[in-house]
Amino acid sequence: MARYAAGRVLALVPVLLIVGVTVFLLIHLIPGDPASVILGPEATDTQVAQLRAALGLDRPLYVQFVVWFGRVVHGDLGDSIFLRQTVTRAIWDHLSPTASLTALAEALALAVAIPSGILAAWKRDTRYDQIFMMLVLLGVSIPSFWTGLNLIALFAVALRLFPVAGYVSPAHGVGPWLGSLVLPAAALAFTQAGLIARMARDSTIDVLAEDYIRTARSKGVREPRVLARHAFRNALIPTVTVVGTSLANLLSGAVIVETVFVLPGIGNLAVQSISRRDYPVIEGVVLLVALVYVIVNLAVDLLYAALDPRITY
Amino acid sequence: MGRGIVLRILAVCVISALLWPLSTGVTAQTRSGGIIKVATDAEPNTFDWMTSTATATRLVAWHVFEGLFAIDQQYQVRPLLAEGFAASPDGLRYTIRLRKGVKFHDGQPMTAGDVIASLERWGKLSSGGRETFKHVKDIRAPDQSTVEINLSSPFAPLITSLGDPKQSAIVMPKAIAERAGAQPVRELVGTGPYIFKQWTPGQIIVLARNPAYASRTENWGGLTGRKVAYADEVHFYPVTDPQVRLSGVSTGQYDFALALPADLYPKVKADRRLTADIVHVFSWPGIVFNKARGPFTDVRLRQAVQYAIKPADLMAAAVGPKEFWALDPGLFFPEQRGVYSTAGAEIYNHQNLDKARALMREAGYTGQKIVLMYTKDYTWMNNAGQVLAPELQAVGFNVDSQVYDWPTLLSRRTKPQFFDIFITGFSPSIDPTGIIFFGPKWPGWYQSAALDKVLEEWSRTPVTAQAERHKIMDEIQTVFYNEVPVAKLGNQYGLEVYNDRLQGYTSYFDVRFWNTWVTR
Repeated sequence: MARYAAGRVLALVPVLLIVGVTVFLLIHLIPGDPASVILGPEATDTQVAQLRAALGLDRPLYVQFVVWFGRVVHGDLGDSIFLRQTVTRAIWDHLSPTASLTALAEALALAVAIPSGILAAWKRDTRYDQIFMMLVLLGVSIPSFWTGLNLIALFAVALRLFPVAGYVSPAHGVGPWLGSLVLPAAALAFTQAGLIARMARDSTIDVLAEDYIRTARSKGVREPRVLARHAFRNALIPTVTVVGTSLANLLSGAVIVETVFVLPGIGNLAVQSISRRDYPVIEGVVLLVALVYVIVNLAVDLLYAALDPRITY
Repeated sequence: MGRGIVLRILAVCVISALLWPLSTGVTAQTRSGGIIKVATDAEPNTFDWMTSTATATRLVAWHVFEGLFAIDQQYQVRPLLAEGFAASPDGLRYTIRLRKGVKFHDGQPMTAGDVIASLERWGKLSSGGRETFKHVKDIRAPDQSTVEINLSSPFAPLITSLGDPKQSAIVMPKAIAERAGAQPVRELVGTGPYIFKQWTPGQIIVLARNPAYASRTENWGGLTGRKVAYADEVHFYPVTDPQVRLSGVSTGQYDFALALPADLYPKVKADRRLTADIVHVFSWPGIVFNKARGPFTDVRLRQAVQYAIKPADLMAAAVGPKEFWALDPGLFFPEQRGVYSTAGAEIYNHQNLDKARALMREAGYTGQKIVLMYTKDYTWMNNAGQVLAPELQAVGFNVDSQVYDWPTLLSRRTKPQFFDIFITGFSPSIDPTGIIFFGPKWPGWYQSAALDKVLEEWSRTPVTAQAERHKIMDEIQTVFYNEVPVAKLGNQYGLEVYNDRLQGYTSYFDVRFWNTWVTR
């Protein structure tokens, strides 16, 4: 298992290499450049050309690539054109809001989705199951920004329970920090919970039809114990896959929610950097997201073995 | 009953008289302090107001930086860091006296050396500066508080140009101006009422009160005259979603929300604690033609477009509620009395499809593809584009609509082979020499002997010759309507909103937060 994990980690290198080269080429191929963004809509061509030269963007693309790649290999992602800091620093600064938001959203989603999903499977085809399925469908279908705006209208504007937008660092107190994350996390969790609950329900239904469940029941094991001890753990494997991939998806969902709620996270950084054509930051963020995807996938694979002794590597 | 009224009036007078010294004494103190929180629609990409034309840059930067001259509430140029100026009778030498006692935020006094270094940087980097420096022979400092600008040819708009809020001729310490060169300046040291304190990208920009600010005393308003920084700090928060900006102002999380779309206006009106500031001198949308290449090098086709469009339809689609736009032929806004003209009113907003088709036939147009570029990043541009395309198709133009994200559009419009028309908005200019699309290098590439002639005349005419200037302004606008470098759609108004915590705010073309305070 350790050998397997080490092999997978080593495989990261070519993956990141390919992602790096592709991203560099793609973003330099799309039109637009930071100089015209800095100078604004009424700048003249001469001014833009002047600034392009000052920023080193007039050099041939392969020269820029060699310079950039040489630095990346040494662990230096370069400097942001706009933020007056290194890319590594910028990513580090934006990591905490996204990590907090993702963790809270995932926790909320799991806390709601797993019990309600199992319950729906157990009460299959009842009124509860129908309502459950409707909510799940809503959760998966409603875009998170819309949920977000409605949560703001209700909980921030009408009830004044939470701030409308903005992020409070945990350094300023755990209460305000959580307060600034509850609404965006709920907006994200709604979609997320729909996905996970649906999976939990379906896999529990499959498991409940298995022979060993019937055996357990016929032995006289009580229903709560059947569900908790026999069904739950076996139903967990497909659910873990969904949780894993959705955790990575949360990063992309966070892009929109972070923009609506003005959270200075990785998603916001990515959106801003793309609209400003801040090349080094875009490259850095995409590399990070690729890294997260690969690591989450690895973690999911390793979790299978922990959950199901029949799986070995 | 008569006696009752008299008694009541007396009572009110007595109470007011008793309270008056109390209230005036108290307000000056209670105005001081607190934080003004502003939700902005866009984050500045640089704070260098000398290089950037972006509104987001300017409205933060002008709290920090000041120039020798600036515009007042009526958009007239008046001294700011300058005490005053004198022009020689031949109009070739301007002697500008600097105000004494002005200090930079680093504590150093402002000297003629700083001014010269700043002006020279401005002359290289900004459009207005380059235009001005075509006439500048040299700049000298006879002493520490005098700057002398010698011109090689008369340029009457010199002082106006120095006070232009677009890519402004701001004064910064000599060493900083020289270090920055062509790069946007990153050491933000100015003379303004607020000091640049902190920028956390994506989160907040913090300005703090300048305790050593040397204010003028005149009540000119606008960007000059008496400026008091009442608040301890001004915070700018970038909040992308307009709905969230509005919600934040209504809950008091922010005091001021910038750039709201007009369709939120009913919501603003419904909330008693909110004040809607409808900004009349804001922007005018226009259609820019490629005059360097393609069908629109022929002026008759540009005129055809002018007759093909119906400005009212386009403005209604682009902006929405009638309170937020007006049909107006002016290159300037009616509030800008010194330069406003209505010449061309007989052409503007006179849709005539037959005339348009006749002009197209005359120009020999045979259905060549017309590339129309616009962006979805700004809702109004997208809306205008969707109405413009069918209006052009109705007279027989073969329109190919190409919709891009804003940075892509900014890039493509610099290359003549990529487009025939694009839609954009023009923020207020203060002098015809500063109108961006009159420059031959701006996308659209307008070159015109007729325009050069009238602009040259304008440059020679002293600012004091009001009647003559108005006549020339009419001529400039007539050239604009005959040659159609840009087809104007109308005047677009802006919507800013603030809550009842913010006091003393006066409406202006862009927001500023001196002479404004918050109640606590």
